[in-house]
Amino acid sequence: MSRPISQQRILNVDLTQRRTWAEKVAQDDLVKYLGGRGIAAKLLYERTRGGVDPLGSDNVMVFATGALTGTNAPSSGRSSVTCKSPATGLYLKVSVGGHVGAELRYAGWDYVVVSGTASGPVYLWIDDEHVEIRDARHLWGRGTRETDDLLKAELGDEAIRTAVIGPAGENRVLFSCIMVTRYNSASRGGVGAVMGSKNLKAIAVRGRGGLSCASGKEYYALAGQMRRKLAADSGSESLYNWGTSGSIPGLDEMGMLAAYNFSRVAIDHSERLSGQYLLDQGYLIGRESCFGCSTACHRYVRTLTDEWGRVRDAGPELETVLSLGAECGITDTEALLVANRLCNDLGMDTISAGHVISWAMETYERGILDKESTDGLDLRFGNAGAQHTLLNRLARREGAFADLLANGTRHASQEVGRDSGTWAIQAKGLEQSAVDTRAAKSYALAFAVNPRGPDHLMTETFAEFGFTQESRDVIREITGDEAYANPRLTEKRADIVRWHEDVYGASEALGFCVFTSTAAFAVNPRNMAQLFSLGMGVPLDEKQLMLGGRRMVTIERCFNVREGARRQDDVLPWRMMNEKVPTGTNAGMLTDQAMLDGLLDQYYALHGWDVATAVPLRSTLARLGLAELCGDVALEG
Amino acid sequence: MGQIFLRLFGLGEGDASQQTLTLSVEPGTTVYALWEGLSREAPPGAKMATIEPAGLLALLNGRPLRTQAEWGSPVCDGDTVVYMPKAFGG
Repeated sequence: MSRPISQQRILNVDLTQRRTWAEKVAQDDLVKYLGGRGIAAKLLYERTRGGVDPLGSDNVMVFATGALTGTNAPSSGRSSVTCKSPATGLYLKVSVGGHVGAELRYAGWDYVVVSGTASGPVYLWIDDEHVEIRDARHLWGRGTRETDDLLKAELGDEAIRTAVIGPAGENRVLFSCIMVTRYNSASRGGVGAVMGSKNLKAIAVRGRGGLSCASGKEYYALAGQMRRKLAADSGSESLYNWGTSGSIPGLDEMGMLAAYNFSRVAIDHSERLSGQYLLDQGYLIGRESCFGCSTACHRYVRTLTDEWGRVRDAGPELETVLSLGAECGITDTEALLVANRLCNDLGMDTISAGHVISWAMETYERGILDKESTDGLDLRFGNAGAQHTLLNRLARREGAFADLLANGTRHASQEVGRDSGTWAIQAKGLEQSAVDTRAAKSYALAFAVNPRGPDHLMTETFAEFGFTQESRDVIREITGDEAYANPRLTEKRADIVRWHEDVYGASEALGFCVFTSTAAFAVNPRNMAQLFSLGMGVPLDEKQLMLGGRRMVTIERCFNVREGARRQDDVLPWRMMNEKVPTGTNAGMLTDQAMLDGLLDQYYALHGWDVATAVPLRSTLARLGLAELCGDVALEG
Repeated sequence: MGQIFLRLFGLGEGDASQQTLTLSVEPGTTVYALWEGLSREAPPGAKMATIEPAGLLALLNGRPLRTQAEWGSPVCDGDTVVYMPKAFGG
């Protein structure tokens, strides 16, 4: 039985009342917010109030599938999880691949909205229309891999797809994550802790239905055309060959390889972190795809010795090898594969876990922490054994030191004091991903205004580097001149960021992997709008699609305004704004407060937000059709 | 005649996928001409013989060369030139 993709359904789950019920998404909302991330933003705004405790029963989690997820649109298997973050106290959207989104749609659901708190550990079992809240006491305390195995055995179906938290989420570690379809991580901002605070160990899904498109033949023809264009892109080939960590040699050569807690931009033996090395040395034993993706950038790897323990598991992504590797002064490949496996099984975000530890290592090397304060750990840079021990302790908050770090770098540096906040690589309470925002100004602006904190996973402005003709064409389209494809320039950065925000938002609402739309450019606003129209049977043009993306960004901003965030919160980590790039081709570069202020002025004005406070103006909300939803926080104007 | 350092990533098989070479070049040789020569000398069917410059990232002393005009930059004695298929990560 096929369900039209335009007939979207919400599964509401109240864990306090142990009650579930279905709800339809209004057609008008689907066109206005595009689905996925857009509908999730609206639902979260509506169903929470300002000041809600992120780890309390009033916080709401929205699991959202992309509007085209489950169809043959290329690389469109992405889903998102949206809630208020316990790490930042602000808006949190995390995006994830894998297969659970498509499975959920085949089960007949597009969104799962979880509210309340269960009285004890539970998991949610969605078997097509049958929905059940089940006891999970026997799963509590177990790793994500074992939980996935046990759920499949218990429910008697290997085809079940799961979203699971590990011990870190149960213990409310503020950088805990949700592991989806076993190997994909929905990370950042402590989303796993929110699930843990609700006593929700897992969601297990089995769907046997189908999906249909309004103009099926034309839809599949266009999707096929987009897939062929994507497959022909040499960047896609590199992703297949080496995965995301295939970028390591390029970053190293450009002097942009974040190392030693961002105090350096190079590290000896950096090649051992690369996807090329994993392939050449025999660590790589397989490649994995998310639903509907022909690129297969995920790695499946093994260790070759027993030095740090045996691993056969998902491979590390670029950000993982930088954060747990170079940032901690570690280039031992085997040690890194074990650290990655630990994070995945314990359910921790590798970017934040790596940067919490790299901050502790720098603090230790400066003599502010010692073995007594670290509960016996020798936390010098490069000590992989200490890192592994600490990762295990962090997930369970074992000991005073791990308990301190489990609340994130902002909290830990505030507790330790002695200027240690100046080398805490965080802003808004989120650890920055390992992109050097001193040498790339669109990235700097995008990171500063990111509602969840400084990272590349809400907007990635890769085109500003102008590495390819396609990316320079994009910059010309945005600014009128491809000469602006230069990351060192400050002019036109707001235009570049806002365009990427719109595209990123639209991509995620539809379920596209953003590699396809902001790096390979095979998926673009025009063909996304065409595909949406053909699938939904509702006309949508490129401009409307981009406006849909902008609505998401605006709702997310309004959510943060409701939480009290203002312009002064849009900053970068102290080190990015005050310490120049030490060596290499970008030596001496910095994005200081004055430069950032100039970028922010451009950006707020372009958005139609009050420049002094960063609060959206009422006229802007009216223009976007958001006055009714978010008008409570708007400024007159 | 000048001596340059050439680094290649992902353009060979196995251990040859990352190579550092020292080459002598004629004065005035450009980054584009250098690649043309390498591509011409590569065995038929090898990646270096088949990949188009548009699919490559070239760096001269760590600086990415983005446009055709920049690929026309001459290489000088002591320079480091890097070629690799374009890649992105996250």
